Amino acid sequence: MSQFLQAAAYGVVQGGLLGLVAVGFSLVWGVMNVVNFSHGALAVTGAYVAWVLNVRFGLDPFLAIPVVAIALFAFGYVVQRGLINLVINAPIFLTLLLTFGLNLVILNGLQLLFKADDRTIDTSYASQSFAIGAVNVPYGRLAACFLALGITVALALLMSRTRLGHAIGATGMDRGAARLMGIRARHIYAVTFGIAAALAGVAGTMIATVGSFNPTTTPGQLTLDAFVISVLGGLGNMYGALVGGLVLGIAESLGGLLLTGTWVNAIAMAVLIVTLIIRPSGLIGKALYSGRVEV
Amino acid sequence: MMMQRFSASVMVAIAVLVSAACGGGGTSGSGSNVTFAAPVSQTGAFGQAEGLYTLQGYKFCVQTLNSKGGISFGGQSHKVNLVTEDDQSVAATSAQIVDQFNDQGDKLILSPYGSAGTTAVAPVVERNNQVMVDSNGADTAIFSHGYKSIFAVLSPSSSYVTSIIDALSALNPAPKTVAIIAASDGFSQHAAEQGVAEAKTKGITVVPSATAYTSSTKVTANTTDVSSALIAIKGTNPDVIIISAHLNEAVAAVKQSSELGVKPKDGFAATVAPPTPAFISALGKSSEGVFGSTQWVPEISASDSVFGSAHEFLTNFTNTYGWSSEQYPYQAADAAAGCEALALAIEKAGSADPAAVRTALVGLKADTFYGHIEFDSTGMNTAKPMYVIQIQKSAFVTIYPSNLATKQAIWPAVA
Repeated sequence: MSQFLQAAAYGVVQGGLLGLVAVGFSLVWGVMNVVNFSHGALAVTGAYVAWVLNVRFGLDPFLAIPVVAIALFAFGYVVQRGLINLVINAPIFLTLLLTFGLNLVILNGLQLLFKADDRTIDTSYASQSFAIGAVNVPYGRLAACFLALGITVALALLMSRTRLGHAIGATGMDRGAARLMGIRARHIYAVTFGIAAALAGVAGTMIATVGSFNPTTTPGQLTLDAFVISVLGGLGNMYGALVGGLVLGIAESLGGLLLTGTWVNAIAMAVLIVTLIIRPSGLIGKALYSGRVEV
Repeated sequence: MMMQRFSASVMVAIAVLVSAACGGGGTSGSGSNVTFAAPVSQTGAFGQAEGLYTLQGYKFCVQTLNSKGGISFGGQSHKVNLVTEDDQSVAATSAQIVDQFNDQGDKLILSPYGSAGTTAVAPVVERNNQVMVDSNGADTAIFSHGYKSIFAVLSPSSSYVTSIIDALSALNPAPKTVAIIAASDGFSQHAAEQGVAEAKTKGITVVPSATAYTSSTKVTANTTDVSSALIAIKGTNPDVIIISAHLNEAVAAVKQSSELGVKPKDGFAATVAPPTPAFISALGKSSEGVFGSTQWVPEISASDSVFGSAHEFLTNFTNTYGWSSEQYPYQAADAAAGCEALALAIEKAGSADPAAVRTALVGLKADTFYGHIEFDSTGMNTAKPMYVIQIQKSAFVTIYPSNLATKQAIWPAVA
């Protein structure tokens, strides 16, 4: 029983971290209909920024988060405005190819700058845990889970309570109508991509704090996780990524305990397939996004 | 007439010069180059560490051989040309690359990094009548197929966990219980299986069960999440956790164990990963005290005419590639030894013909900087022992066997 509870607790905090990885990916896909294959690369870029700040200046990764977010927002804004926007009206496969190319450029750049070694941000607390009975809850992943929750709530409030959020939502639903209402779609798209890049950077900082990262294997895994979680949770709802992450985290953790660790990926895919059969728009996604008007 | 004689003399002179340049008929000139071909991981799961170390070992060997004039046979010295291609850490790609090497006429093969790649490459080498020296594929399963052209310089997979068990049982007090986490690949599973058998002979109990490495503590090869195995171990309170796997799994096990409150009483040990610089850079202080089995240590009393002594190899290799002499990748020594064995076989055969080289490898008995190299009927170098190091103050310290130990083991290894 204690093993079951331990697996469930670990699954929840791991799920929060997965949700944090996916929230930006889901935002860009939902609003701009761009499947951003460079999402994992952006996350790893954020991880390197935080790692440099930690190694050079001794800055704690949690204190580095604002710096990482601002740097990645600026990078994301420029990339969208100057590059992705050029093909934003093209079929989804073209934007997919473009972001895949962007992914390769970023990763090769990182490899040149930092080599391909595994890195980690060493803190005295991230790998420690506190015990509730026989169940250990890791501080680092718990903090990442709360961060994911906070960011998701903030993002939901931004989307529902602010003019910027309404503009992002309107542009995502009907770009032509939004333009007629005086919304500068190009700017809104760049802001959206910038926010997503910032969130990816924050997620990368957390990955670097609780685990390790490198520019060769980590980005692909993060992009794949983000893709699965976004589809599982559903697009068009800011809580979709968090819910998807939690479901996946718990399913993998319990599945790994009940079967073996080698079944984890199969379990994740089984959960995704069953969910899509029952709810094609994802767990809490909105079907209206599939009927968007692209002008 | 005079003009005709002059022309004939010029023709003879040209013929002699061309003959000398091509090495034909000379006794001490330079012969044609000999090509060693290797599919080596430069990207993917092994590209950042083990593949890189293997590549550096091959390059260092070829560079050293050429600096000493190359390989001597047929009365001439032949420079060695190294051809490599990135297999992206994918076994099937390794096999494709070796087929391409064959199409290009490259018959002398050096293995890729790892048992998976070597397993995929071996039947291709056999089919193409190439010959391969295996430097970094230790799974004994590779040598159970009756291959005639595959020769491994390194100790087989059966030695990796058993050497750790032997080292641990020599400590005072010896551990009473160990848990073994094993990756799903053939090498890691076989190493774990042999380790369980060795633990039994040493009176050490394997928890949660002797077969757990095939079920509850088995993890996907190259994963970065081993939480399921650690949760299965939790509550059994092992004295030592042994990880039979590669870099990613070992790093994850050490990191996630403290997250999950799985604290072995005495410490961690792992195959493959601890004696690599990447393990220390990935774990920082958490790598302190971890034990690791290794194929080579510089303390062995062994030497040869190419690399000098084991210590000289260490100094020259680490200086060439900028490694610290306290954090040297043993996989590079494996690779250099494999390359050297191929060169020695060519010299012995007096030819670079793959059939002749194969015959020479069958009968090769060589004392090198890496230790004694001699292949049994299956192609394995079974006489070579393995060693155990412990990470102390970010340095690899040899602790087993005791006659090679440079310092005492820190034991228990965890505070």
